[in-house]
Amino acid sequence: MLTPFILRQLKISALLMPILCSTLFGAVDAIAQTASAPANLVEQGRRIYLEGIDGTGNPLQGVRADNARLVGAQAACVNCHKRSGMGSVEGDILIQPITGNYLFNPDKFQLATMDPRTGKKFNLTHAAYTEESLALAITSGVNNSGRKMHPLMPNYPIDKSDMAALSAYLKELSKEWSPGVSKDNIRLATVITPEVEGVRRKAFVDTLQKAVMQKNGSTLTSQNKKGRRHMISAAEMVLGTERTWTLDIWELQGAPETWGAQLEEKYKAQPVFALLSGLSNSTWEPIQNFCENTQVPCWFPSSSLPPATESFYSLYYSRGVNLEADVLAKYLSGNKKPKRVVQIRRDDIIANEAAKRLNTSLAAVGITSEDRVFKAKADEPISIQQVTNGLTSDDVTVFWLRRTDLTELGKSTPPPVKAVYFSAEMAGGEQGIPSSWQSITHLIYPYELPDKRQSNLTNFHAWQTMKKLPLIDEPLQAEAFFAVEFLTETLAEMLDNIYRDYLIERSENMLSRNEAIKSEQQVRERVMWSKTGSTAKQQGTSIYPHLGLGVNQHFASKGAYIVGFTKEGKLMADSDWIVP
Amino acid sequence: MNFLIHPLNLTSWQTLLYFMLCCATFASTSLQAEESIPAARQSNAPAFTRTVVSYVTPDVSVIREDGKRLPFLKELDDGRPVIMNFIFASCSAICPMLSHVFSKVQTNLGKDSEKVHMVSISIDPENDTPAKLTEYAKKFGAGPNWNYYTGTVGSSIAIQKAFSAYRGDKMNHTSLILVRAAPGKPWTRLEGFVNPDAVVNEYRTLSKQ
Repeated sequence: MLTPFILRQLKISALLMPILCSTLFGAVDAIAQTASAPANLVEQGRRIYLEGIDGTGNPLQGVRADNARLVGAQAACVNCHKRSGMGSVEGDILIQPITGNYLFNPDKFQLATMDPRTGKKFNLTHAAYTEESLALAITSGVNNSGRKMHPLMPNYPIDKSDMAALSAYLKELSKEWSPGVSKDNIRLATVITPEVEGVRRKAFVDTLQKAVMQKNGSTLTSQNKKGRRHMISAAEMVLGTERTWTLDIWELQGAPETWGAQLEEKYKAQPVFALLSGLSNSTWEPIQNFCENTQVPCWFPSSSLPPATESFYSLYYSRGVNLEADVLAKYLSGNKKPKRVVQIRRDDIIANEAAKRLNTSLAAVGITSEDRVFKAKADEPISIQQVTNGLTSDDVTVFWLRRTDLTELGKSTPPPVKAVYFSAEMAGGEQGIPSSWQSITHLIYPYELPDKRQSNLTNFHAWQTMKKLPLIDEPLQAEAFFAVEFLTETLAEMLDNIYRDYLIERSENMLSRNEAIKSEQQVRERVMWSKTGSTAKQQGTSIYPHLGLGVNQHFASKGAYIVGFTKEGKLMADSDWIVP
Repeated sequence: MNFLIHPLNLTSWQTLLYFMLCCATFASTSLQAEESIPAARQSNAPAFTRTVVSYVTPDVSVIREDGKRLPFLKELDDGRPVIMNFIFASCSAICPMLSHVFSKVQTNLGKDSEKVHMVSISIDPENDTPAKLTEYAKKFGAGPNWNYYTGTVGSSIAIQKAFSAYRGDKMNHTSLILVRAAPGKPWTRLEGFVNPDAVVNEYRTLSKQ
């Protein structure tokens, strides 16, 4: 075996092995050893932890080292220790995990990766807490090794009943792996809504399945002894906590109103840990609602219409067409305001919502807009003549159309207007824009510009070529690929702590950092290993210029460019990156 | 690190080398976790460092919480004493603490708070729109002399770099408060767990000089 060999070589086995072994073999039976506390006690603890409300219904009070008083929600444990209880990292401050497993079972010392970029990478070992030593820590700020805790940690003068309740809650918190997780496998599903075009559906499913297959192929398990370690996390590599994935494809049928029930049924039949990626040309609201109600992470779907309502379990690339509408309104308002904007679309939910949003945004900056809708049914081709009546060279037109319709447009000459705008989100990038329209055409472009993004997507393109996957829809396929990669990395960093809340918290905390680390790494690898490798600077690994999340910040990319075409048909930026 | 999809064909010795590098990293970091505990954990005394440094204010454009686009140079060098920090609205541990300290400083300055310009720079400018910053300011009771600034990613990074506050990512940021008596004077840099009294004392000392 390679692993023990290396440990011996590095002469660290004496120190490290007890930790590793206990973690490797202890993690499973560390769970569920404590008898369950009465539900009302756990509920009392939950309110303290999440809401900052004590057993008498009053706001929780905490006093920090600088005598600052924190009251109620501000004083709630969840702010720093998070919903999962797994703690977090901010700057140089490591906020330790405080679940029952971590506090009371240090003999089965469990490891949590704190921050891959700092030296102190893991949670600290400590003696087992007892109810008494935990109470002392919380009331006086002295931990069970006799040290003052970090000054950010307030002292809470809570009574015995609240202390018992909090302790009972912590023992229940992240007690077991989430549903869909076993010792060596994680079950996932991807949701596809019924109206998606066959070609894109196939490209999407092929990309996703091949990426998952690749991930599983390189996961070393008892079933797959030939797997090659990803080496995403050194700790993961030594501990061997990585699992293979099973990916279910959940194809929805019928009207959006029925999707919620379909999802619940599928989930009931086969619970999954998370929804990985996803594809829709329609509303995503029923899927987000399902994720929120069932507390299942909804991991970076390719949706053009994520709901605007806040959710804990859903992470998105961007606000989709709503973002595009805001960006265009901002651009047009600053740039010789047009007299009139005419929006042209099919009667479909995404286009309708986009137009509605743009109307509102344009009205706010004093630009008149008008809506025109193709009469064609969903399966009939559009006819441009239906919508161009009375358009003049003073007008700006915005077409909210999919790529299949662009081909139809290309058969006619463009209308005699000042400028034509298309949604890159709906059109799937610039590929479908008819060349005869390019001279007056612009795109709202939420992606990184083609010349800049080539280095970001080097690995994706190399992989896709190697797997002989045709590039049908670059944004879609690059998004699906990124979703698999980022989930692989985040799960690997989570080691054996496979809890849904923790997955969301880690990605909130890590996405932008992870992108920076990975970009540097990929450039270095290209320079190191490849004779012909490009040394071009790389800003990220997705099709977007940069991605970042935060607490309640679940749209990773926040802006878009406005782009046009050169005479040679190359894309060029008309604007800087616009963040509305 | 990412090795999920490796377009390069590594030979076995290259793979082995990678393994060893990873193990070495793992070993050294694990051992460090057992090392000394920072001073802040050991005592109740607020642990922060104080240094005096001169900085050149960068000439970038920023957007104030009221939506106005302004030259940062003019905002910072308008003659008033400045107390400055770096925050972002979706930050859950350090920034609420920093903003809480600022809020206390505002109160403890008493009448002097009308003379001082308190400046909070967003290090997550694409998310921290003027509307979000206004809401955030309200939460901490920011008065008329306490402004929040956002802008482009580029301008925010330029400002962070100019004041040695750039850590590569918003999640890497550390607690820092800067105080300056007047344009052209050096800045006092208070780093770590700074209490409001220390900030007010710093301002009073500087303004007497």
